[in-house]
Amino acid sequence: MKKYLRIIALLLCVILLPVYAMAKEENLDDGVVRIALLISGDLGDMSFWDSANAGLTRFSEDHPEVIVDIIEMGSSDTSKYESTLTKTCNGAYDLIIVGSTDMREPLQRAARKKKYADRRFIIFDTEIKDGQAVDYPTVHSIMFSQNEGGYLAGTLAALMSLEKGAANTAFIGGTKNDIINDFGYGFMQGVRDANAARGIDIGAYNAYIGDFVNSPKGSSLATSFYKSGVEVLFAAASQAGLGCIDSAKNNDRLIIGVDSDQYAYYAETDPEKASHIVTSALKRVDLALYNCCEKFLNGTLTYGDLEILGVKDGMISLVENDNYNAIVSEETRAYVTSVARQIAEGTLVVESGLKRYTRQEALNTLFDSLDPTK
Amino acid sequence: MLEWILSESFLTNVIAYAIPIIFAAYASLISNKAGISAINIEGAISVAAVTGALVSHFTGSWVIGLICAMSAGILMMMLLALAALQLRADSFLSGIALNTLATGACLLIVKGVLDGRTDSSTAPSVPVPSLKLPLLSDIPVIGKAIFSQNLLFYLMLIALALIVLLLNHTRLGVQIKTAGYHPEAGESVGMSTRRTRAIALMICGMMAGLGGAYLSMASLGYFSAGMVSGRGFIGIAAEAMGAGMPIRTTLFALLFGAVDYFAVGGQTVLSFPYELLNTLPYLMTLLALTLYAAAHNKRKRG
Repeated sequence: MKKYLRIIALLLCVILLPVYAMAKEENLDDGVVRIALLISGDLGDMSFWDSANAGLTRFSEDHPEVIVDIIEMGSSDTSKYESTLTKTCNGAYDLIIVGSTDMREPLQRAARKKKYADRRFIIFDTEIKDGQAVDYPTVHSIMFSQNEGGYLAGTLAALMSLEKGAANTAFIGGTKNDIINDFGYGFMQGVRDANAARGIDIGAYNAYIGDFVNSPKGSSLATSFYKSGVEVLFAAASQAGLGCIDSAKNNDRLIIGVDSDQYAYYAETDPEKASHIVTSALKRVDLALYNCCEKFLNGTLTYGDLEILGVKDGMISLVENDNYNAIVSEETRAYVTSVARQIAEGTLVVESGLKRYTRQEALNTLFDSLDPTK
Repeated sequence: MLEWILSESFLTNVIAYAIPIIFAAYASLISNKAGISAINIEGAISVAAVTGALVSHFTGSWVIGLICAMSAGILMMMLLALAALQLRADSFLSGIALNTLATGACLLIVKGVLDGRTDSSTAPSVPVPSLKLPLLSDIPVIGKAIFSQNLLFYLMLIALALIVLLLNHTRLGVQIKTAGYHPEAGESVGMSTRRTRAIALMICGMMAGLGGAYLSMASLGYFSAGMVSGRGFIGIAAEAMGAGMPIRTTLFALLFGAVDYFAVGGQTVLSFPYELLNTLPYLMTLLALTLYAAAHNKRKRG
């Protein structure tokens, strides 16, 4: 009998402990600042997530008194995202940072809960709810004007195609989602305006891999563009986009990378591959998050609002490294720099490709007008 | 469009797309002949791909990379043999478990070896070379597509010949077929079904290994998680439609390669909406399996 009692007691402990732990959120008033970054993908993508990771890592090095935890949730099981967020909210984190549209709905639910009212959140690369950031008084939303990065890439691609004597350039995206459309729409505007400014007629193919991981497909899409005469193309497709870079190396053509400085990643391990990356359309997720964490420490971070970061904030730009200077002619570089300055000053406005600003039909019209297969 | 389909580059690309599918189909063929379904071909290809890429990078030799890729494929199939033959677990369920294991194992291996990366693009593999046969490669249209291919394409042709030879003209081939069609008959004359199936799984693993090596050492210069993306399963479907006949299986796998390439070329050369094109390989699989089942039932009734 005693034995059974013991077993039952043990079982009760095992069952009740996690229930208790889950229900009880830890107290924040312990004098220590804790920040958590949830990665809803895989690190090692050499672009988006690695950039976020780098920003927080640098922040924790500069502020050893702050505890920074980076939690990688992986891309294979999206059902884990919400439970991980809940667990993190229950922990003693003062600030919780999440990114990408995958985290929107989980965060909407968490931020609404009364018991998390003292927690503060940042969501980046999307708005917590389209046009309704004000309804979430504990959430700071950050978006990037990747259309401006696409525009600079498009301008450069058109001018380089002209220099190299190619009739067309190309844009390769992962899937047709909002962010990739924004990149693509910017790219096409860049090509269109460069054509008009120089009186040339460079076309631009477009193609989509269908996901962000099928790198062999990315490689073969790029190869078929290169085989049809494209000299330089722009790929915004995360891991699958690395396949496009592989193809650029094999076909001895050029590519414009995305998000992080992809030249720098390969410069040491595979210099030959790196030399085919003209530049990358930077999206400074690292810098944006670093600045936000600084503001959070100072108490100047605002909530219930949306911050849009672009060329003018130094968050979107093209990498100007030695490779860029070596490959691109001085004239083209000067032109791209002047375009960037106009965007920063606001004299040149790049239209957004996000669906809340521009309808899909308008996107298609521009894409088709430059597409040589149409 | 017709001009594009009949062009040299179309044929070259279709073959390049079909090679991993064909190897997967051969792997499935051998195991099915021996009466055991190896659903974990997909996972074996993935593990072989990561092994081939990393080993070739660190040894600087594609030969060693290729051998290790095949060994990795064999190892994954031996795990299936252990579960399904030795411990008598359901081969289908074990296969699913092994596929899940492979997904995790690949990430773990890359992250462990390359310090937190999910692909090996910073550690480029040593590619398997292409062979250009003199004279023959000058034949118009088919010359470049058939006689100027990657070495693994010729290995595939050799594998096809060996499989036909093995199944029809050797003692082992008869044993494998007996293990599949009527294991009791084999047992009654002293043949060990378990041993025969294990040998068949070894050959199956070797084929999957070659498929994996093609992906990470020829098609692409590195391994990345998710690069197999269903090619193993498509190979299994091609084998099912080929009804276990090596040549027919090869032709069906080629057809799948063609549809797969069409989904890429349809976007770049022609102008089709990509959402529709990306569903083509899967639609094709469904359609083919339905036709196959219908034909199979008719044959049974007739």
